[in-house]
Amino acid sequence: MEEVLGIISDSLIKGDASSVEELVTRALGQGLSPKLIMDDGLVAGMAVIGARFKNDEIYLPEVMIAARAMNTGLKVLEPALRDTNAEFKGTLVLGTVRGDLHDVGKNMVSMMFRGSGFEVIDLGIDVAEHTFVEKIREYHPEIVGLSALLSTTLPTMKSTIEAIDEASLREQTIIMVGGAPVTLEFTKAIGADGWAPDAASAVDAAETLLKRKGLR
Amino acid sequence: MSEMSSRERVLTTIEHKEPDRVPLYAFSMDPKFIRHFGQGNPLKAFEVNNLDSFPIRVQNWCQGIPLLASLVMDIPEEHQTAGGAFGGWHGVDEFGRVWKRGSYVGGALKTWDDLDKYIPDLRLEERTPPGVLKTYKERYPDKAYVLNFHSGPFGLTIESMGFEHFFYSLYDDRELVKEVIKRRTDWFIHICKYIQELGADYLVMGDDVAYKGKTFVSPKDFEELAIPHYKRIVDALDMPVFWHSDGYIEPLIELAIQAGIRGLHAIEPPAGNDLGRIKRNYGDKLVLLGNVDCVSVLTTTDLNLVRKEVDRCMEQAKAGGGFMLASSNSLHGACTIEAVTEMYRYAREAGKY
Repeated sequence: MEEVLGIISDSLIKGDASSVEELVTRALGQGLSPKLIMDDGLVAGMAVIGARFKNDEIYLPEVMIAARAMNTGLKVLEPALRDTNAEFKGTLVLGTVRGDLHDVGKNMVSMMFRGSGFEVIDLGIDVAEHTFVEKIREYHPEIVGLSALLSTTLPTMKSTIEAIDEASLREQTIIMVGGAPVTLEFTKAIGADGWAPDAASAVDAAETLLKRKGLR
Repeated sequence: MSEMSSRERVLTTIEHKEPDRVPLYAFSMDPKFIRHFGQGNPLKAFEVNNLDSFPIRVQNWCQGIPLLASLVMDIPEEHQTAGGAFGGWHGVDEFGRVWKRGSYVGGALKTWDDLDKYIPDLRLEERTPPGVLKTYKERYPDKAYVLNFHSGPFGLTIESMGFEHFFYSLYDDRELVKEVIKRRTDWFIHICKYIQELGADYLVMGDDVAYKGKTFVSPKDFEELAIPHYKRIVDALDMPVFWHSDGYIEPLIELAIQAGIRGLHAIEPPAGNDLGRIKRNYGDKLVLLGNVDCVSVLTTTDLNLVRKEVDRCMEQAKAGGGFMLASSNSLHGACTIEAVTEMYRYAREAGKY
């Protein structure tokens, strides 16, 4: 019966959204638990995609169609996941910082985290410091992700972190930053907890940071 | 060696010979530099910094608003947040790119029906009035003239379709992607031929195909989708064709050379490019333009750091000619006046052969 999970995973890797939708529906119909379908079907497939992307075996288009297939599967799965109170690995509150309207990188990060079993609260683009603070209070995320493409908006990453610090919200969350102009040196300089060079690496980096901070 | 004119210096460099000093180049300047150095006159800003190649501008529009609009008109406050060269662009431009307050936010070209809508009319003499270039050439006869043209066929296809839709379309409707690239190339060649006749010495084709650490698509896809059209551009023109791309482009260089590309800008260091390695591997085939770090160096006012960075570029790429010193991308708004001034001033000393 669980053979279907391997086929879900393979279909996701190929980016075959309609097969993933059909197979997830079938797996639920066969009585497999939503959590098992999520972990051994969808997340397992995205893990392969992430590894291949890091090894330069595949590129953005292949990641995007796999992520699209995963989202199609998730739409079928999510009501059942909610019904069974299945737990996410953690929650990520994510947004492109104030003054920056770019979202391709942020969307990639969102998809990779969703595909790895995290709940993602995507705040969109041009997100003000106070909005991040409000959403952290509302969702209590383990991870906050700040994205920027423009060099000119890098200072806003810093002011966002300062606002989160001033609101005393750092204890139970880690702050990660990313985007084309962001470097490890910059990450340290502004007091962020972590950074990753690309969306696929961001999930690994987040999991390491969560363990280090005792949040996992 | 006696002092060369700018044009001699640039043409000698393009022939991979050592001129009197390394030529100075810029792909584009934020309006802040044009205001500061040129009091609003782009060419004056190039002249003040002793840049050896003067740019030939090709105008583009978004809802009737031209590039660098902030230099010539008042931009409504609600449209000017990001500013820069695209300040005032708000809506869909003639290529199908969607702008919000001066920032690119997506693409409008989604279907075959959109194709005709977003391949712009040529409007040759409106884009580059021949009289203007003639006047420049009379006033600055010793300069080289470069067509810095950021409307290359592949990057613009991605932008006009939007990144996500482009990537999906590679699997859902690859023929549409191919047709957009083909038609953009046809348009690009028409414009370039016109500018060549006006007197351009070389073309720097702006075509962004990569980001930090990686190319947008695989080298195999790039070879299939872009390279045949790069070759068409090279074959259609008599002037040397250089290529500008953001991001990490090293995996694509061999393919670009095969297509006939003869120069490379901007070789961004933070994206993972290594100027020294590219010089060693391809320095006999490509003129290299770059790569003073415009993320962590030109954004400071630490002039020692700027000089060190210029020295690094010279050490890695100056020997044997075939090198022009430039920023590792545009001179964007976060670069400082002090750093840019010092980069060009010091490069005139450090670049002597």
